[in-house]
Parts: sequence; structure tokens; C-alpha cells
Amino acid sequence: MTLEPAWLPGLDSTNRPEVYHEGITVAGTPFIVAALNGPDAAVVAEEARSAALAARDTHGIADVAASISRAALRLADPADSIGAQAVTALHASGGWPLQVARDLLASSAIGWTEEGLMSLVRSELGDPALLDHPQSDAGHPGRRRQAIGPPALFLVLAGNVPGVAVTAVLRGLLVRSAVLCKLPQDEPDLVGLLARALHEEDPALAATIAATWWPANQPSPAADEWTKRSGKVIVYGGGEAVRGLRARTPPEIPLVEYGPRLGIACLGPAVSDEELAALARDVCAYDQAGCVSPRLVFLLGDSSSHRQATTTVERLATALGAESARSPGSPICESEAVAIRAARATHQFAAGDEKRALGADDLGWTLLYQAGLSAYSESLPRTVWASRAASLDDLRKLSAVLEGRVQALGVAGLDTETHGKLEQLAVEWGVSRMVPVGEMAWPPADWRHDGRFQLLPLLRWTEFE
Amino acid sequence: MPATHTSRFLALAETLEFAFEAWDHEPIPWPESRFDELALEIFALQFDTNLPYGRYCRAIGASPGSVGSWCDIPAAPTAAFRSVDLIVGEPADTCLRFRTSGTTHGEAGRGMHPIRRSDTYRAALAGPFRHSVLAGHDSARLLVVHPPFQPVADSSLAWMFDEVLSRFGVPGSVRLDPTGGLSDELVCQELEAAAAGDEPVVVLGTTLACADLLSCLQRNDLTVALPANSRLMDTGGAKGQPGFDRQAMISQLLSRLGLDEPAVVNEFGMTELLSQRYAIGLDATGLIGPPWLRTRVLDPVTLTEKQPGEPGLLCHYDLANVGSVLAVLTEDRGLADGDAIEWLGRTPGAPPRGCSLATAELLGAQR
Repeated sequence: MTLEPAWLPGLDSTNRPEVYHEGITVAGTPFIVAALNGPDAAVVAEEARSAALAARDTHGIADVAASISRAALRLADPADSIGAQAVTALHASGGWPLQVARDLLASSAIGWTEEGLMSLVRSELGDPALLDHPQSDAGHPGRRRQAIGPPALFLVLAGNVPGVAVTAVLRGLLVRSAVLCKLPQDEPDLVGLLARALHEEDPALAATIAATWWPANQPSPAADEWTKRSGKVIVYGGGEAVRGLRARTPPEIPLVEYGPRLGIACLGPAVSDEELAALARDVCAYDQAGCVSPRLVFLLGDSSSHRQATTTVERLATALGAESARSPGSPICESEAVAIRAARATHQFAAGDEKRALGADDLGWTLLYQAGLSAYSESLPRTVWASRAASLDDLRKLSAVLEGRVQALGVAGLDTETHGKLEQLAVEWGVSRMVPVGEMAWPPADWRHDGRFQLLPLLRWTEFE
Repeated sequence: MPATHTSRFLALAETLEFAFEAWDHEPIPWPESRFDELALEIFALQFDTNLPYGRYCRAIGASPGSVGSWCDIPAAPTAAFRSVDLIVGEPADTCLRFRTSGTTHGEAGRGMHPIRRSDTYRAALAGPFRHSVLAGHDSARLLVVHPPFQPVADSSLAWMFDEVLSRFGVPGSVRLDPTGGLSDELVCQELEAAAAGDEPVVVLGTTLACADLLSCLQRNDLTVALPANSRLMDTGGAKGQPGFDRQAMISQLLSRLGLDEPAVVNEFGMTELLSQRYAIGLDATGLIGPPWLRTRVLDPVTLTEKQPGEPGLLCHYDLANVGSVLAVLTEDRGLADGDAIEWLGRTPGAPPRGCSLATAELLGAQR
């Protein structure tokens, strides 16, 4: 790649560091970024912080939403030079076929519209003007309050789902903070492209972004400086990333964690082929790397005999095959191939027809069925574990594993009564979203990520009495 | 197992044992057709009588009628040894059980290789060991740095060391059990006694046991000069120990034993295989096996054969596995150079993609 993904306002070409970090993406594409020493990281942070404070005087929330939306939507426009670079970057970094990369960006961009961003603000704050000036509290005459993010946020971004890092940056900009970003190794380019687009649309706001990358599990002066100079640290990603940040963040700096979770689907006997095709789309989206991605499928209901369950599994396999043919995944690495074959082997060699393994020869998708209820799954691309649950009480036996860990619960083919009881179980487990299959992988812009608001955890409130 | 199946198995096993022993007396290559015919006959037996394997073959549409050559025989992933009894006949027909060490998958993920007939293993290991480790001699003074075989521990390597000790060891051969730490006194005493004799000595142990032996010699500042034609055989590699440099360690041990580099033999074996490969010299790159053991290097995704010299997954075809499953797809990376292979290490565990939770971590051993 010729594009250098870092975006470091305050470090011009004459004082760029001469030391570089070398990274490699999930698809094996190398990239380099300037390695920030402590003083340089401090300069960058102060530049972005000053720019953010200055922009609070010149931009209202509506102006911010308009500018950042224009910039972000350019990433999803393949006719735009920035959008063309975004597609190329996703192809290079994640190995996504070009058309799939375009589709992924288009899906992400649904939440990047000006209306989408403002509706997120309204859904969490009610009155967007709270981000501009103190607003009266109708319930308490004489009381006013204002909410705004700290002058700077430190974001440790994840690149598992293309565009999710951009969405995280947009949230930081919406709360009027500078965003100091550690770029995701798997997908290092999109945030830098967003900053470049924003620089063309609204340079004052672009100056509030700083982004670079450094190797994980190594001492990093940039990480130390940016943590120290931020009002909050936000971390997205896998368990290791979250645990690492937790250990390094001083206790006086609030840490907001978005760690690993999973999606599950509950299918009733009446599930249709169309619904199974929709579930297959949920599975294949982002190669199942999202916390909303369905990984476990439960075939529910007393009437769900073994024969019926295996028939449903075969229909789901057909749907997965069709979806994988329509939308091929990114390349599978050697370790994943070995792990997928090992997972298949435990089912392929099992006795009787209690277990079955279905999948593509090229490992493009895998469906592992076992008759006995199971919550076992591994984090492998386009690999689903399915099992039978005789009833919701049966499913409740998995509470120890699933409670507090389910991001999305997809449903299909359930009768009204079962659906209602499943809603109760979803509340009991703290499921973030319960939706029809086909909508699992694409949460709306104002969804409750990890069961929490998206903007409120970033804000600080001031009351005037 | 029905009597016809039993007699079919026994006939094949005895044929193979005879062939292995014949090769021991006259170690010449086998023609391709001989390996192919035997492999296809074994596959047919295993298809019919190894129930989990036969089920797997049927599921993927392979049968004796559809498999035209040994390369087409469906390989059982090593993961299958972790979940089912892969034995020709019934699990009750097992005479020995070997279990993997669990280095990669932990205690709950230890694989098990059921052995139908120990004579086949004996015959398979004797010739290659004699020619590669004993340089064709019938016996030697053996110093085995390894604990004895215990049915509870189920180590195939311990069984092999016991076998070579009893079969090839002359009086004066000894076991130095490293369990709980090597005895400095015993090690020094045995090595000094061996050095004082005229008979070639063969020191055998795992690579990590060799490191223990070196530490022991360094602690006691002992250097000996073993008799001419003595050898050192190590096996197993670093077992995932970070920073462990096998070549440097073996090189120092050679100096302490008064041996030169050509005296080193590296053994490559697996619990899932009854035959072994050996490489002479320090770098252990040219691992050569007997003619009844073949290895293909495959693309990990497509399972198509890699070009010579290209790394890939190692897939072994071991006729000595007549009582279990002859084709074994490993999780090992390696490359081939003619009949020799180089073992590059275990494929690392797949890093989780993104922030999708793997419940396997939560369930632990409940699989």
C-alpha cells in the first residue's frame, strides 16, 4: 500500500519522526506508520485538543454532524476518490473482494448520514442543543445543564468490522472531543481516509483527529501520553486488547470497554427458507467477526424432532452455501484452516447421526450440528454451531455461559407465545438486541452497544442551579 | 469384530510385519506399486471395520471403489484422535493405548491412538531405528534419558524407548529417569563408565531431557569422551518453550560427550503414527522414513499438494497404522525435499477474528 494510514496534525513534513513501526494486516498486507516518541505524541495531542476546544466556539452540533457526515459518506461513494481509496484499502487490508468491500462500506454508511447522526444524538440526549449550550430543565425551573465530551478522548479501535472504527470516531466528534486514535492493525486505513476527507470538507474539525498505530504488547510512549492527556479511554476489540488497556489505564481515568460478545439465533419449527437465507446473510456479514454475528443457532420447540432439526440444518447449509457464493469471504489463514478442520473432525467422526458437519470444500463456510444442547463455539470465520433446545427452559440451562454475553439474538419461525417468553429470557440474560434474523449484523445507528448508550458514556455533565 | 474381519486384519498385519522385517535385513526402496497396493488394501479394511473412519469416508463420498491411489485416501485430522477411538474392530480389541502429550490442546484435548497389535509397532520401529540410530549394528550400550512406560501415562515414546532398550541394549545399558530431576551422581557415574568402555554408546532422550542432561554435566563440570561410533538421539523439539535453541543446546551437549556433529540423530515421531523418521546431523532438516511411511505437503485450505520446497501441512501415510487409520492429516507445518521432510513446527492456534466471543474459552473442558 502506498497510503500511510496515520493522521498526525501538528507534525508537519519537516519534523516527522524518522522511526517507523511496521505492521501487517489480517490479509498479510504490510504498512508503516511514524513511531511517535513521547514529546511528539504530546504535541499531537495538544494540537488536537486545542482544535477541539476552538471548534466548540465555531461549530454547533448541527454543523459538526453535517461536516462529519459529508466526509464519512465519501468513504462509501466508490465514485469519489476517497471512496475509491477506501475500497482498495479494504481489499488490501482485509482481503475482501472489491464488490464485497463496496457493499460493506455502503452498509456501514447507513449510520453515517446527517440524519442518522442527529437521530443518535436525539435518542440519547433528547435535545441536541445540550451539546452546544446550557439548556433549561423543564422539570426544574431555574436549573440548566450542559453535556459535552472531555477535550480529548483516547480511542483504541477495532478493525474486525469494516467501518466500525469510523463509526467510533464519529461518535467522539459528535460529543465535541478531540479523538486520539490507535488504529486497528486489521484495517488501518479508513480513519486516516476519513480525516483526509474531513480536511477537505471542514479543516477545523479534521484538526481534532489524530491517529496512528503501534504494536500491541510493547511499551508505547504514544499510548502513555494519549492516555494521560485524555478525559476518557474507550477500547473496542477482543478480550486481550481490553484486558491490556485495563491494566495500563490509571484508575483516575475512566475506561469504557466494548469487549467480545456473540450473537445467537433461535429458530422455531416454522422457519422459512427466506428466513434461513436472512440468517445466512447475518453469518456471512463481516466474516462473522462482529460481536453481533450469529455463532450459535438453537433449533427450538418440542415439535422440533431430530429429523426436523436435521432438515432445518440442511436447509440452513444450503442458504450458507448460496450466500457464500454470492458474497465470498476474505481469505482464510493457515491457522484458521487447521482449526476449522479440527472442529469439523469432532463432528464428522462422531457416532450415529447425533452430530453432523456440513461445509464447503474450500472452508468458506461450516455448519456443525449436534442433537444435544450445546453452547460451544469458537471464533472461526463463517462457522456456526447449531444444536437442539427442546424448550426455553432447556435453553435457560445455558445461562451460565450466555448471560451478559449476547449482543444480538436473532429469531425466526417462533409462535407468539414462545416469542414473548424468549423476550423475557433476553431481558434476563441482558441481551443487547433481539431482532428478526437478517437484521442481526446491521444494528441501527442508535442501538445500545453492549446494552449501553453510545454517547452518554462519553459525556461529562455540568449543572447550573 | 466378525471373524472374517479379524482374519483379514491379521493377514494384513502379518504381511506388513514380514515386509518390515525384510526391509530391516535389506533396506532397499519399495516400488511405488507396492506401497500403493498395500495402502489401498489397508484403506479397504479400515473403511469396512474402523467405524468412525468409515462413517467419515462415507460422509465425504469416499470409498474403496472411488479411491484410485494412496494419495486419494481420506486422511483423518489429528483432531479426530481427540474425539473418537480410531481402531480397526471394536475398542475392546485395543491392546495398548498411546496418548498425546497435550502440549497444544491441554489435558482435555489429549488425543488417543488405540493400538490393535503391538507386534506391528515393534516390527515398524526396529529396522529404521537400527539403520538410522545404530548405524546398522545389532546392539549398543544405550543410555535412555526417559521414564519407563506406564499404562496411565500412555506415552508412545516411553513404550518405544522400553522396546529399543530391551531389544538392542547390551548389558550396561541403563535408564536415567529424569522424573523429579536427574540424579547428578548417577549421570556422572554412568557416563564415565560408558566412556571407559570400548562399546559404542547411544544416548537417547527427548530434546528437553537432553537439555536437562547438559545442565547436569555443566553443574558437575563433567566432559567425557564416549567411544568411537557413539551417538546422541533427541526427539520432540522445544515443545513450545519460547527462546529454546535446540541446535545450540545439542551442540554443547555433543562437546560434553566428546562427539562430533554427525553423531546426532533427530527422531521425528507422533503418537498418531507407528513409524518414525530420522535425520542425521545437527540441523534435523532431512528427516527420512522407511518405505512404508510417506508424507505429502498440502495447502492448508484446499488440501492440494504443494510444490516441492513449499511449506504446508504435513499429511502422513503410515502403513504400520494398519490397526487404526493409515492417513493422518496433522496440524504440523513442514516441507518436502524428495523423500525427506523438514518439520517446521506446529501451526499456531487461530487468533480470534474481531470481537466475536468464543464460548469455548468459557466452557473449557466441557466440550
